[in-house]
Amino acid sequence: MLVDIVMPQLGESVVEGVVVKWLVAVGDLVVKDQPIVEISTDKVDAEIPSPVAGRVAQLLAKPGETVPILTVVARIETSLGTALPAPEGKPPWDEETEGFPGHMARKTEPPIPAPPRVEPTAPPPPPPPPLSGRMRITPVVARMTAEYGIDLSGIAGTGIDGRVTRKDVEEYLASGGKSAAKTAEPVAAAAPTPSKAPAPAPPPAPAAAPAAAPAAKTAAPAEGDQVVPWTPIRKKIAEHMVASKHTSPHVHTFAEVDMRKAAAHRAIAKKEGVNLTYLPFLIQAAARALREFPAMNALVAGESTVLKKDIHISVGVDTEKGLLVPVVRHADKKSLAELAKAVDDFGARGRTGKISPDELTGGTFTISNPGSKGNLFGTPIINQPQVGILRMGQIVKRAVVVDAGGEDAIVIRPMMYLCLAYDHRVIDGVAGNGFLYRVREILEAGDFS
Amino acid sequence: MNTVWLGEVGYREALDLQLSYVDRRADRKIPDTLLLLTHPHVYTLGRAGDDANLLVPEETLAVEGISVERVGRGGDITYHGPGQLVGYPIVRMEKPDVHRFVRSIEAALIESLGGFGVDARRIDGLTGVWVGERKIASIGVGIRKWVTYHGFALNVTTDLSYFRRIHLCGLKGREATSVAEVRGSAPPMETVRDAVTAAFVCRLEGY
Repeated sequence: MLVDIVMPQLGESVVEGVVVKWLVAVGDLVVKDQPIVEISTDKVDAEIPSPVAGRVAQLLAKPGETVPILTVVARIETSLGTALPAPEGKPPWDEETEGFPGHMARKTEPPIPAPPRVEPTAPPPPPPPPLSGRMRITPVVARMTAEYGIDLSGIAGTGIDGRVTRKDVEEYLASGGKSAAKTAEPVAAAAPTPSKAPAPAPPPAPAAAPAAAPAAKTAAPAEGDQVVPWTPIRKKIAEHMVASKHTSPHVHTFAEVDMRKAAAHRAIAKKEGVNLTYLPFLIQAAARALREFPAMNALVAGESTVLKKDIHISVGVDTEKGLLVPVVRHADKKSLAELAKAVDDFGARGRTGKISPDELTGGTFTISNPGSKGNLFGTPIINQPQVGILRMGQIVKRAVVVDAGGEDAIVIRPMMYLCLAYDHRVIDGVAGNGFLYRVREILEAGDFS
Repeated sequence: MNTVWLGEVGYREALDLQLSYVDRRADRKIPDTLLLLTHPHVYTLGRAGDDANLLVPEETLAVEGISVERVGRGGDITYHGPGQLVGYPIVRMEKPDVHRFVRSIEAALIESLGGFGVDARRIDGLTGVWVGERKIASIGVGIRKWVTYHGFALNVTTDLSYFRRIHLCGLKGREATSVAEVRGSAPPMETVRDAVTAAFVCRLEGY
């Protein structure tokens, strides 16, 4: 027999709940009272136990979905002898690995861009009929609309049956009561306000800024278009990129570096059978310069700057699963060979997905190496809460003018543009420029260890 | 309802303890129980917790011996530490009404605070207990096997500077207060504990 599991009513005034996480999968055997799903209402989180023993036949709601009370969210087959519906495989949504603090969360499996889904595994049962034409809303939403004097008909609901949820109202309010409006009003928005004396303070950077443009009207996908829903890792990256741009006024400064001596070092190593990339040279130069410019080796904490004792350099590693930023610890205490080994090791393990979360946290400065196809230069985004990031450009041979025994001469040199982004809240131009200049000096001196 | 005073207990340890009480309560081996305790310094992030609401890097906190715990409860970030009375009601809900339950906790705290001359109140739409516009007690409840866990944290002599390092429960701009701040001084923790115990025994019967 199939037993329906419904969204329980957790109180008289509770009309809906959010499915937070399934604790079982289709095909699992469950015992009576075993927690099968975590739900949350506006007041509490609750684990819902199974009322019966059996096998999970269907899960009808996705994590994150808001469901009216008494809606069937799962079905459990209690007669285990009878033919069970064929397991429907893994749920189509991503089960996020438990988040860890590092911003580059790693998933256990690469996200598979699913084709746009029209229906979940089974269509959700129709929600209860609306009450005499009135929109059903939660008491919270009712309170908020009363408090802020909002007309609900102006908000596009994302809940069941287009119902307006608390989140919709919050986003509506956060956007100044515009972006989620059903009827876009581009006229008012487009008119540039004449700038009056002190520009109005920018809205406080919403730390958890919705990375997605809030419900900007996008054209419905045309036939043949592919809709790729953001995976948890993509969302995390998006949030951090937006938060960094909101938080730090980025200043980008460039240096042109003659990499001749590093290239010579590399050639010698190659003869000895050691394949060096340029990245370890950059790490060593940056680590030495950071010792001389402690302000750059720092983290921002609220309204203070924490000058870090140790120099731990985050380095970008491109993997099949996206960009990972593992940390080379105590970079200033490592030889070139040790740095090269650490970088190679991250690269190799990045490809096989074996970098542990611990290795992704604790960086105090970042170097981004886009590799041989990195183009002339790029302007990187600071890896919060750090205050600086260096980005290597492509190394190309150029004709440059050098001083040859008191005479100007045109020679061919492997040159690289190096871009430093620094947080102008805490780093002044003198320190930022001085640091980058020093990195260049160290690289050009070629005194690597 | 039984009440148990545990003294100072680490956050994780207390959580394990709560879960064992929840299991025993679900199996009807024990009556409803209010666990009362204090925690050493800790920031806890709920499931909705955004790291950005922690304004200080974890490693800085680690240096000061303050831990950051990520927990399965709802809500965002909060702080626990010395001088704060923490209560975890382990209550079996025959007919769950979480709103009524949360309101009862608020009522019990408001009643206890009234006994010390602190005029506390609810703010519609916000969970917790407030004095003026400042939060004196935060509330976060979880349910497992139809038994409640987690609960409330009441600032008695809490060093409020620890709250300034987070966006309080995700509510930017909201401040915390304490009995000591409101009255100028606070009665001993034991006195507050006993008043809260009495209020809870009255208010949390019949779930």
